Amino acid sequence: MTRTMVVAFLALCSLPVLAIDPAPLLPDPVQQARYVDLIHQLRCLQCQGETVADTQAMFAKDIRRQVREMVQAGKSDHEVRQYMVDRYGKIILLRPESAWLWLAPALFLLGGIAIAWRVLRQRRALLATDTSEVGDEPEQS
Amino acid sequence: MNRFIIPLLVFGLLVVVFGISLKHAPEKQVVKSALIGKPAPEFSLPDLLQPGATVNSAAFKGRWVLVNVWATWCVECRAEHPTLLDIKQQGKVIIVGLNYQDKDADARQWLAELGNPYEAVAVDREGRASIDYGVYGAPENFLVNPAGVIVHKTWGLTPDYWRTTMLPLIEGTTK
Amino acid sequence: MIPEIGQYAMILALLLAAAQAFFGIAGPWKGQQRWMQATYPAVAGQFVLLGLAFGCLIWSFVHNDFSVRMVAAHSNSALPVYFQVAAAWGNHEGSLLFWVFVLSAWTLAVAAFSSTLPRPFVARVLGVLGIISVGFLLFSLATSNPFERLQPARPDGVDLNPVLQDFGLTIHPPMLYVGYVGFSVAFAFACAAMIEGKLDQTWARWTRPWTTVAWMFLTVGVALGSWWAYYELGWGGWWAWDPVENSILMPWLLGTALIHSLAVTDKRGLFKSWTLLLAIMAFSFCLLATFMVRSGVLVSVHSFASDPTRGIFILSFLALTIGGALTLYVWRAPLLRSAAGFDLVSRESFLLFNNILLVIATAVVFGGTMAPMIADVAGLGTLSVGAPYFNPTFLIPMLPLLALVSVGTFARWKRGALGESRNRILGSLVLALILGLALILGVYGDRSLLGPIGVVIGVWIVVSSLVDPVDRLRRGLSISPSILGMTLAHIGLGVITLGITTMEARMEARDVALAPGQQVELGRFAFRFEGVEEVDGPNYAATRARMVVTRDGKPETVLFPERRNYLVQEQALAEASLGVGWQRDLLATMGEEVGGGAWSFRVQVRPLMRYVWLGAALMAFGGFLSTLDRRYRRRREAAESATVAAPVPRGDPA
Repeated sequence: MTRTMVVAFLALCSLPVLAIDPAPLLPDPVQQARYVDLIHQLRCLQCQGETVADTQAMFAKDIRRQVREMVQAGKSDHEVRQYMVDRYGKIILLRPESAWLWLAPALFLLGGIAIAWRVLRQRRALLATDTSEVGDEPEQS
Repeated sequence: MNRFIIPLLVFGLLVVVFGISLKHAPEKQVVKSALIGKPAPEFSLPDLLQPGATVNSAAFKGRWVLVNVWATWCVECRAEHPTLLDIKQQGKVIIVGLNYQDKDADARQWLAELGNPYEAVAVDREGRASIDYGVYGAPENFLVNPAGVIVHKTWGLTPDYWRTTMLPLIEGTTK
Repeated sequence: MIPEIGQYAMILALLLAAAQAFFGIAGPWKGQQRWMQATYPAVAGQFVLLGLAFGCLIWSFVHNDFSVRMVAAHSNSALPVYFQVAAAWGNHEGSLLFWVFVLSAWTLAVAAFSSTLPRPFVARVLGVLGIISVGFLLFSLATSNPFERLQPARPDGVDLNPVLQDFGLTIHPPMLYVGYVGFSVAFAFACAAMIEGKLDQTWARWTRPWTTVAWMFLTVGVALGSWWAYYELGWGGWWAWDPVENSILMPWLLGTALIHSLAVTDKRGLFKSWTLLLAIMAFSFCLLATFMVRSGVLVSVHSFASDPTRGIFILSFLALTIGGALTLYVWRAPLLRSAAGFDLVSRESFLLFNNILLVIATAVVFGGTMAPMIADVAGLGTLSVGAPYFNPTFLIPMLPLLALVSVGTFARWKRGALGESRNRILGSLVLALILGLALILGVYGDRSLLGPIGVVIGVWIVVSSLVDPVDRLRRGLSISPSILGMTLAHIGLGVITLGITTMEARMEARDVALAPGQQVELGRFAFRFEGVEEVDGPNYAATRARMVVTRDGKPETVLFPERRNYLVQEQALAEASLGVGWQRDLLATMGEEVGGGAWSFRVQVRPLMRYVWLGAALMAFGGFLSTLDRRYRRRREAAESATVAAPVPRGDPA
């Protein structure tokens, strides 16, 4: 089974009860949007790899309630995240704060552009000596 | 210098990282709590065994306390229970239970059947104290020193783990 | 008795695999025709023995032999037979046996269909595949024996995890494994070519159909996994970016890159060393994915604490095979030089961008997946990397990639001839803009930025993929299967892009408590809860809700979400109910009773969700079609007639 690990954690998740949290929407749409955004950034530690927003574990339900109450009490996003980190450690943040991780994709792209530029320059120079004939078919495989 | 050696070098580095990670595997079973070295969170919750009374964490200051998070739906808790009874017998610490996401009647029944190792059992039906302790499953165990600071956290206790890792923490300072 | 037969079959297969590896590598090296010849019976024997072993495992499951540890741990006498069979590969040990069995099947196919290739080359390919087989069989027998007995036997099994008792998940792993193992063929061809040192572009031509077939299975496997997560896990997530899903995605990305670079190498003799490296990398990630999922190297190192030998074995095996291949690469790759040139605007340059961007995408996923482990090893503390990281960063390579597909399909080989296609490119773009914006603004009324961009790109890919085939038809030219396949696969990509972006931008979900008779509104849809009834399944008892969905007051469909209690594992599971449609999927998931006859539900409306799977199906079908190309078939017919003429491989007269 390809998902044994996930499944193993899911088993943990669903042991007590399936907890969909039927809370009414927050009256303030801005707060509601912030709440939804925040619960998508927190990791359900009972089930690994899933967000608190997308699981039905008890843990996720408690955390959702806590986030909702803090948002309603006027706490900032940063305060909510810090509250969770103080108790659970950085492992609860699914959006890592490490600058390297965020820079890496851009660096990869720059590296890719550099390589493409080099190869293209080489190959264009070779056009003058390359006399091979290639069919016009887009794909003659 | 042959640039085609780069993939091999990167691969070699990855193998080393995997290797180190594998070597550290046994240590990883003890997930470090963000709360170690910090004051244990205060709580004041309903008492499981004395309806109407509350369990107040402040009452345990000055003694070594093992805060044990448990629930009747948790299979490992049943396996852990004899160890807790044994620890109580030894009398080095008092055990305070935090009943997590559970039904009171089930929990009382459990203690009546299996014996009660707890000084007191606080009912955390809302899960708020559990959030303060960074709990996300059961069982979890927090060792709190007389000054009220969390010195150690672990999952399920085994007699071995208690003797080799946790007891020295207590005796090291009481000697 | 039967489990022991399976056990002996595995041991014998290991011996044959060792023989196949030795004779395959040593035969051509020593110039021994007989040795090369010996690989064929070894391949056939291995296939038969592993088929027998796997059959024995299934037999043990179906006959409830609870003295076999695997059966006791993953099956139950009340489990429907269908799932008992699937349970055979629903665990670490069984799935490893299945892996080698699939490998033996691929190896047999290579042996059967390669009679037109030079014999020493085929022998080397079989030798490399033999080495992989030895590794897996050793691993299986030494650390993960599926036939291990229990003393004493259990009276009944502890049942298959309820989450796995599902059609999607019974066929998802086999598809995925056939795909993973298929890339071992490309790997073996690459290694054989490097050992031989004759690295002209013929090896790329021979590798192409095998790679495409493997890619097709992998595509189906990835899509099935996502589909399963979507409807079985019940909360509508279809891609969570967890390490397991990432491990499946990476080989697919590299495999896609490999298919495209093989085309360039085959056609122009370009990117030869790069294609070799890609073939090695794609298979490495397939191995990594197999082991990662099976053994949790990345997900959680916990599982090793009980049995560290598994981890050490896996690491050594990876180091030997991949390290060996990369060492060969260091030695051989410098010999590869190509004097072919191409212009900035040419098919080659777009395929170059395709490869670079796909590799960057893989690197982003790999970096994010590995980061927690690297941080841990480097002592930087714990961290998590999840969807909030992958969703935006994955777009960095993917957006340019998708945007370039359309222009790329118009480019000609070697020299830029975009001038004549400029009108078509612009025309298709304008059409895409109109259609896309009309769809997203008119029908869905979207305000986000990504929605319209994604839809326009998706529509553009679909429209521009159609230009060339339609043009050919108008001019009365035939369309070869490979062109048709490529067109379909690209349309599939466009359809997926369209589906994902619309769905992500426009989906709506609510968690809500409803008493019978109450309803919740979600856009134009209203979900009315009408009550619950108790139903009994073969190995579970369920509470089933009836939920009537109306659209603008008119009846749309009725959903029956369930909450199942699996009796043996005492596990509760939500079985979501789906209202499938071409415009939207409706989902209802049932939670717990919240008092007074009311239950908690999650209801969702996901527009165009179907198109994600439809697009994946089109891609896979496109891959299938392109392998039917006459060029490959001719060779296959030749190969078949050769095997018919000589059922037992004959001695090479040369």
